[in-house]
Amino acid sequence: MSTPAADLEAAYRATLRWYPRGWRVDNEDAVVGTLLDVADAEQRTRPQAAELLNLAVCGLLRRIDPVLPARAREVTSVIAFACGAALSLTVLLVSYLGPLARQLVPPWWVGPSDPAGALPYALWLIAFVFAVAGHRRTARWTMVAVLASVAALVVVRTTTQATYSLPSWVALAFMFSLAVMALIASPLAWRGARGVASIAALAFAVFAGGAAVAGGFSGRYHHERWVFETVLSPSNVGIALVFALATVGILAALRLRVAAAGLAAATLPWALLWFAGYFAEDAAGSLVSAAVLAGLTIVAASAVALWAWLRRNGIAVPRHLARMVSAPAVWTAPILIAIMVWGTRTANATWTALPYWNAVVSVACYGLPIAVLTATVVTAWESSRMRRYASTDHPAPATAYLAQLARRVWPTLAASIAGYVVTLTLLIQNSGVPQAGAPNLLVPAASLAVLLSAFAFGALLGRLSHTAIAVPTALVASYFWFAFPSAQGSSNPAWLNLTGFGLPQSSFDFSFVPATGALLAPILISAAVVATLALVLFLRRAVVGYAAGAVLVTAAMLVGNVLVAGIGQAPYAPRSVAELVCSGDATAVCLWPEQDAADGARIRDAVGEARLQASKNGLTLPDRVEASSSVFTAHWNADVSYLTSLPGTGASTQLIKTAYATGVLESMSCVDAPQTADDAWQALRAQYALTMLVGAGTTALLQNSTPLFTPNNSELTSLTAVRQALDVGSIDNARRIVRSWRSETKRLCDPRPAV
Amino acid sequence: MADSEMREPTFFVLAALADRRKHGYALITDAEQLSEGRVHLKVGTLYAALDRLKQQGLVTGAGEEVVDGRLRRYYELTDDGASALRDEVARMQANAEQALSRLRLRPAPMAAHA
Repeated sequence: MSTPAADLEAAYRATLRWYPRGWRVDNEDAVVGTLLDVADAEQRTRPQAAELLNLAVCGLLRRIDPVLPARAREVTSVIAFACGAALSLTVLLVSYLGPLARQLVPPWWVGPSDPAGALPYALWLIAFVFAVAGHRRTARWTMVAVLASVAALVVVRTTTQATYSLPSWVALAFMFSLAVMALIASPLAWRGARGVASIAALAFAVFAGGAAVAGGFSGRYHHERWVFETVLSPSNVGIALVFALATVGILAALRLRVAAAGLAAATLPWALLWFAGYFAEDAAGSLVSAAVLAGLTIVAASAVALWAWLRRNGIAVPRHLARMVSAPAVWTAPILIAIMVWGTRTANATWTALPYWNAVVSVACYGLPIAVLTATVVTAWESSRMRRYASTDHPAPATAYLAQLARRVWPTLAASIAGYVVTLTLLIQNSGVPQAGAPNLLVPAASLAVLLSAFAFGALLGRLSHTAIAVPTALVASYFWFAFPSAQGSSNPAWLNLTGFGLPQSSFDFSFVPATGALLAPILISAAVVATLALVLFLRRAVVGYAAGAVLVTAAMLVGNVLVAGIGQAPYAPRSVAELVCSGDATAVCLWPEQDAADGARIRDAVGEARLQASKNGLTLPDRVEASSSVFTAHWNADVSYLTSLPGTGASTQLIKTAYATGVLESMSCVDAPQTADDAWQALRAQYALTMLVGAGTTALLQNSTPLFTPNNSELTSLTAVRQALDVGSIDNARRIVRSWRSETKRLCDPRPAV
Repeated sequence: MADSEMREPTFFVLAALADRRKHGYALITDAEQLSEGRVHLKVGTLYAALDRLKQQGLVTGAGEEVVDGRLRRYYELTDDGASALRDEVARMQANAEQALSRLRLRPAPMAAHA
């Protein structure tokens, strides 16, 4: 028969199963003895919940010990805690404490954040203050409250309809995992309050700097998820992860094992954030990526295992074979092709381009950045390993050096070209061969020039510095090569063109052609870099060569600025209107040749039907309809209505009509973009009415705009609610709304001089 | 760890072992007494601290005995442990003396305002 004392002992022993077996063999009896002593002293015959929880946590930590020892956990904890505090401050500043900004200009498509969403961030900051002030226990319990608040938000999210104003699932999962990491040790144990404060300051500089570059402090309202979509976007987090893991490698190489293990563990929540963000953007792509990554890991692990097995069994791999396979250019080649193809998949989730040659060759350039990065790093590595060719006593002839370098790096060039060709083939296979026109070969030519300059740049780096300096410099330089333009977006076309980063954007729509001037810029700069390498090699005096190279690059930029008109313009230009193919008797519907070839009849029929319906409903529309893009054309034109944002080939009749209605609205409005929430709401109302009048379904239009926010900032989640709030109702009312919109914008247009 | 101060529970475990060897329960009550009730160690935390201190060579096992069918394992301070504790006490003492010397410089309180 069991007695209370025996039950108590059994409960303790059961809880001690959280500890690893080896530890239990050594310590279980002694610990149970102490637990029973404590229970006796407190006159208990039942275990306390807090006591059991403490044992479970200590046991779990004991199990983590072999992988992540206590000292490393302290490193992980301080990094997670400090980064969380910095992120909390950033999010609070950008999204919650700037309600003044919301009062000024509330963009209509972004609703207010629910103040409840600020709770985890605010609690985290409180915990940070307590920790730095030395109140460790209070800080710890506040962090537990952070976990609880995240859990509460999860419950709220699952039970409410209006979820847009709450933090996203990704943000909640990330904050939870970051808080768990912060709690696996005492953050103050490693380097104390000063350590926590300095890491937090550094992280805050990064987050707030990123938010500032992206315009987070511009006084406009930014939703909390904006921080996760810009500063902490999957691509930024992915790049940060690469740098963090490289640092782990360096720390491990320096035998700073504790710091390496601690930092590696601290990257886990960020890896989760990266994967979750990527998954949210492109579920299939992220799963494929994860599978490819797992596959590559398995292949690499098997190769290492096979290598070890061969050596253990005394089987020698032929030396030249081993050297060939282990050469960086060779083993990175398949990875490079895979990333180029799958990077295009990520950037262009549908794996299709418009059946328009310029769009196809541009989209196929998405893989260029990774090819440039690989070329620079591999060449810097190989070139720096050939230092004897640069020996000042017996310098080898420049041609011998170049021949040897080419033998070592050609697989990277071959893989880059193969990656481009595979991407191009897959795009054409998915979207069909364009039925008119010919590709503009300047786009792939400029890409090749940029790639060649990457090889030249890597060779220069390796020629003049040690591997330990050349390779990290190559990595950082390539990173900045694509980080700068993407941070500045399309707002700085000069930079996009100088680096060649604008190539994938050189045309993505029927209405654009690659801007020849803009594409000449990267070619010119690339030629200058290659010439610099030649100078350094042939002059044999590095300093002279570099000086000459600097002069050359500067001259190229100056000449380019004067001669190449495209340097400051977008990488794409409007297509000549002369190319439009018009047909129709009373109504001329003008389309681009490719559109006309692929879909012309359907588009014309749909537009004809829409016009007929409109005239039945008492609305007269201009007789000429033109395909165009809203980027270049001033659409305020009483004689023409434009077909803007026309969906790709095979779009439904309904979608074509909706696009026509949008174009009609643009041609009768002279306000470029709605300035206030009320204007935006009125514009949507007019667009809705117009869509009704041309007989297009309004559902597609509303689906593109939900969730919607009314001018007084209430969130509308269902289409019915949106329809009710728009209050258009009958055809008669729709006609009235469109007429009043027309006269209203006419009044606004009048003071403006005609374009 | 050398550059950060000793955490309070660690300090009281070492302090409790300063005079003689002790078993787990005695350590808990001693730490509580020494800290005037502020530090109440949980058993899991105590053994995690002991494991860590053993690994650092500050504490070592000092025999076992069975009392009423319960195993009692004793621990004692190593020479390294004693000197770590001595260093910590000296640090605290130096801090306290600094503070005291400043307090002595403080002007005597004025007579109560009328």
